[in-house]
Amino acid sequence: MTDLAPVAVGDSTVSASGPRRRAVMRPATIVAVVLVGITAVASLLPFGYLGVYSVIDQDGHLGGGTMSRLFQALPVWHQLANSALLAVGVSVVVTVLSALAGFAFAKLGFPFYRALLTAISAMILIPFPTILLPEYVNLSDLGLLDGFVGAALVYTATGLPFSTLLMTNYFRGVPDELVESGVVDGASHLRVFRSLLLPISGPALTTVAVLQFIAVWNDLLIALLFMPNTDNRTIAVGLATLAGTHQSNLDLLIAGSFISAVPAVCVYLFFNRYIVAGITGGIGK
Amino acid sequence: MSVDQEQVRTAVSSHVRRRPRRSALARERAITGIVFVVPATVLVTAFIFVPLAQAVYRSMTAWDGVTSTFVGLRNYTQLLAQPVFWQLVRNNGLILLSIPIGVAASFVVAYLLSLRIPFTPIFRAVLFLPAALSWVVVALISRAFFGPEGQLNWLLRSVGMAAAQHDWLGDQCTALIAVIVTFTVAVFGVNTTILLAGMATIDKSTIEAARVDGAGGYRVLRDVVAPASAKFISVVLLITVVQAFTGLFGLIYVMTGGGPGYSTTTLEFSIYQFAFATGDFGLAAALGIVLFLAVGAVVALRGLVFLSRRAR
Repeated sequence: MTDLAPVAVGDSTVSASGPRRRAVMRPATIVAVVLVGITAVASLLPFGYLGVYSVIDQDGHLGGGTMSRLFQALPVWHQLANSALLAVGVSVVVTVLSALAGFAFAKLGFPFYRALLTAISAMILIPFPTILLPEYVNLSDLGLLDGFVGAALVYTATGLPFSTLLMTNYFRGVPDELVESGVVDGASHLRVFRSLLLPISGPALTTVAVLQFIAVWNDLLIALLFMPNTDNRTIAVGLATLAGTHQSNLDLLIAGSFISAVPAVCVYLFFNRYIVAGITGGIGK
Repeated sequence: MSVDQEQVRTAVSSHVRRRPRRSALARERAITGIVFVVPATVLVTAFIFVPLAQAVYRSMTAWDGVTSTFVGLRNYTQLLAQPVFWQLVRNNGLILLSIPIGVAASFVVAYLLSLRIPFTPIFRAVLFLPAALSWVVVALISRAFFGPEGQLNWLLRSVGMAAAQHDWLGDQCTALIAVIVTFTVAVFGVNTTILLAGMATIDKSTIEAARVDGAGGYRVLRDVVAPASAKFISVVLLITVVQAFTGLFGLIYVMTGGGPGYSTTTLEFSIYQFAFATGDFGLAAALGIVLFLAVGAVVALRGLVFLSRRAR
């Protein structure tokens, strides 16, 4: 079984036994397609629901001005921009730091690295509610609740354990010879990392970045608690303020949710190809 | 000095070990390693580990945000004595029990997809889409679905089962089930995607060999695909459990608010309730630690199960 960096697996249509075989339309196949088809439709339902209810008004007619009312109730563009700034920023930082750490854990064994890796991995299990209160107190004392920095630090720190684990497993799948060949040629390990490993890390880096982006984009709690300044509100928090007055704003909420879901979905669809390979490499064989 | 000279020199002087410890190469490697992990380590320590330690300390105090007095384990004994606490544990337990079922369903669907049935690429892309939605959105949709005027009751009416209609979210017995179903359906796509990715790494020839030996779809599933997917199943179980125990605040808050009564309140949700409703932060911290221990216990259990499986 090869240890080479995983390429997009599962896309080849040539089976081991020869040229491509036509899908046999046995009853079993039809049942399988129906079964999976149901789950696929179920997956699309939420989006259909959002899309439909965003553009109809109370009486079920098209139009209805829901969108324009939403934009009047909330500074939608401003909040979307805040969300984007936070999500992209955190995503980049987490990707970089977890890649560096992952490489170090996988290929640059230093004293006690195993213990440190275990410790960081264990942080995945720490529930956020458990550290919520002390975290708030700490950030408050440090005066980091004014701008984006406090929330960004919390997002980054909570995203690092899982991302680092992914990157470490991914790099473990890369053959040692690759690193050693660079070293023998006189390159420093930093050079090796930059020039030899990064180019083939596309899938893993993409997976980490996308997962982190979605996590930050959709998060309500940390944004709500650690960025009390209304100027800095993300779209998630903005929608939550609408939810406060329940029933009357339900349609605005749905329209807003639809808008909020679009970027996250687009990001995912755009990088879909890499994510499968990234997950495979990130879990290891 | 080039690397080769250095290695030769030290190789000669330390003929016992092939890889000399103190060479400049090994030093550079170790130093680079340390420098590379420092940023991540510092951040994780400062913003996860330190608050955790503080939470442990706080859990043993009576703290209202301003003053705190050390009370030892009183918070914990208080917790264990309250019947509500045990209902919370029961709720978490029920959720936990539902997870293997959901993962098994994901596994089956992933297997079907791995057989390259027609439309597979479309199914794969679509299945993961719900992962891009936030829990708040999922909760909104689900609340509408299970509501008295919602789609579920409408469905029941249209297939002639009008008598089965119910106030799903208003009934203590069914509310938690509604939440569990929502959760299971929401994470289904992610789990299936991961399991499918894992199945793609299985050597095709092993499966072909099994088929040649006369194994039908079910046998192949049980004896070839399942063992090979063990690591992926393990990961899927882990992230689903962690999510269920620690990430459902948004879902519960929007869908049921923890009610009716405490029937949909999980340990996690109760932390927010206690902290912000009663202002007893020491108790909330204790709850937080209990939650942490619960997650740890479940994960350890899972680890043991998989370890013994491997040994067989």
